[in-house]
Amino acid sequence: MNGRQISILTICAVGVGSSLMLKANARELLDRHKISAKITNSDMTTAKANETDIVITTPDIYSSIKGIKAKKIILLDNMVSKKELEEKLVPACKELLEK
Amino acid sequence: MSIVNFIISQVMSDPGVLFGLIALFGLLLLRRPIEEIITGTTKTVIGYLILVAGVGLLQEACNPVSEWTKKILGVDGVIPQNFIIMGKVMAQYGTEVGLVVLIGFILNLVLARITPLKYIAITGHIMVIWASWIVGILAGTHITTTGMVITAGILCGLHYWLTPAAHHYFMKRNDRLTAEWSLYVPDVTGVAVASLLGKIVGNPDKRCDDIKVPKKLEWLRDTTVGIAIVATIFWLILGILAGKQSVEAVSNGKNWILFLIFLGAKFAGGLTVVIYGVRMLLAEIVPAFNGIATKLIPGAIAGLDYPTVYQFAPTAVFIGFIFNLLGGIAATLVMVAFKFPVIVLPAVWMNFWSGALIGTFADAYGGMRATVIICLILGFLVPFGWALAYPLSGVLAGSGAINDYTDVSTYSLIFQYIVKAFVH
Repeated sequence: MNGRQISILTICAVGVGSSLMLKANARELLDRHKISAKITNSDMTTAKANETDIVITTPDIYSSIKGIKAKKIILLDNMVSKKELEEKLVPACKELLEK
Repeated sequence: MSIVNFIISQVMSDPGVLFGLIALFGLLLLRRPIEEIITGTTKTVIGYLILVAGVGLLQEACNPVSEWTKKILGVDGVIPQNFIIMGKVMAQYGTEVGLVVLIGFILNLVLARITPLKYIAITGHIMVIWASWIVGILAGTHITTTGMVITAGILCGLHYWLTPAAHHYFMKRNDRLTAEWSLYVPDVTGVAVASLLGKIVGNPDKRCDDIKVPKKLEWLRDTTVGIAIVATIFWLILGILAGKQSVEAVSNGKNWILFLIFLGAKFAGGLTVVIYGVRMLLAEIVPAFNGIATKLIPGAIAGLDYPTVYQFAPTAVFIGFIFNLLGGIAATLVMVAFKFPVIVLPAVWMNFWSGALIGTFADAYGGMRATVIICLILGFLVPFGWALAYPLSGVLAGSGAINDYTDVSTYSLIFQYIVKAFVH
């Protein structure tokens, strides 16, 4: 960890259920990998107003928020799978931190 | 004693503070850094204030609807929307709701720990909505505040525990779904009907995914936009039927047609503000709850939110929504035609969430034919249960809004009759 904090936005349709679960899963995962991050959850209607390093969402939601300002977009086929999140999120974080 | 009194009457009586304390406690337990503890706790308190402000906005948009339906048809017009239910009860009984959720959560953990049913609900906003619903019903009786908090806490604990258990029964019996997790959504009625009836009326080999839904309709999934459009249409119809005079009585000199259009937008705006408040209120608490629950109950099966199962039948999600909505519109028309004492307007919001869920289960058990038939039938029948539940909803009776899950039309309705018969 080089002290830089990554900003992450988790997005679901309403922004109160699944995005919060994604936030909790990402938090647990990044703590384990000792990556410092600020994680926020949002809904698909207002998500575009944000600017962030990484967006985590599902492909069907992403089709409605295309053009969102983010360095990396992570699309989960199974939003419940912690394994898929780990495989996609950890390399993305490491790549951003190396820059 | 006076210090204890001060804490109870001055500090704890503000629901924002109670939720702030819960967030603070959760963040401390998770050993988050100090700056995160400060921002997280502050945001939680402010989230409650935003929620209450949103309720005011919603109220302004909703009040004329009941008035105008009364004027046109002589009956109550009711909007099915669970966040209105939550907002109204939270604005008035926020502390009680907070305590009920806390008692319910702890009871759920205890029951999952000591019994073979290892189910825990972790869909925070629905836990608060259901607690608000029960508190709203009980607050209309003469029960004491302590009695209400304990009764509602126990009922919610059982609800948080048994709802995922019931959903899991139908999820693990079908290979097209999953046994890995469950749902905490008060739509056991819809899921049970879809699963049991789906096998009979449908053909599981012809699934919804065999057809393509036009890409052009995908924007409808943004429920805030859908709500704004449908609300505007309904406000326009109602306002025009009520007449220029009735609208101008409340429009403060604004052109009456423009006023109606903006009122629909105000409704969607108010709803967005309430949900924004809920998001801030729960953003720190729910991950803390999840952390505690999964640590205390190894091998627990989590009750999650609606969209976690939509991946199993993406096209059924859309077909379920459309046919559920058509059923709901038909129900409203029938209520108007037969002059029901309560007219339930089409839900839209829950036609999407419940309709898509029922569609997913119907498709897994009985393919496309089951999805169309069952979503249409439930979309039509369930609002009649809501119409019966409305006058029995305690402090929420007369509020112009009704809780809109399929379970509100079944066991919740029975509970409401029991409360009416035995509790005064």
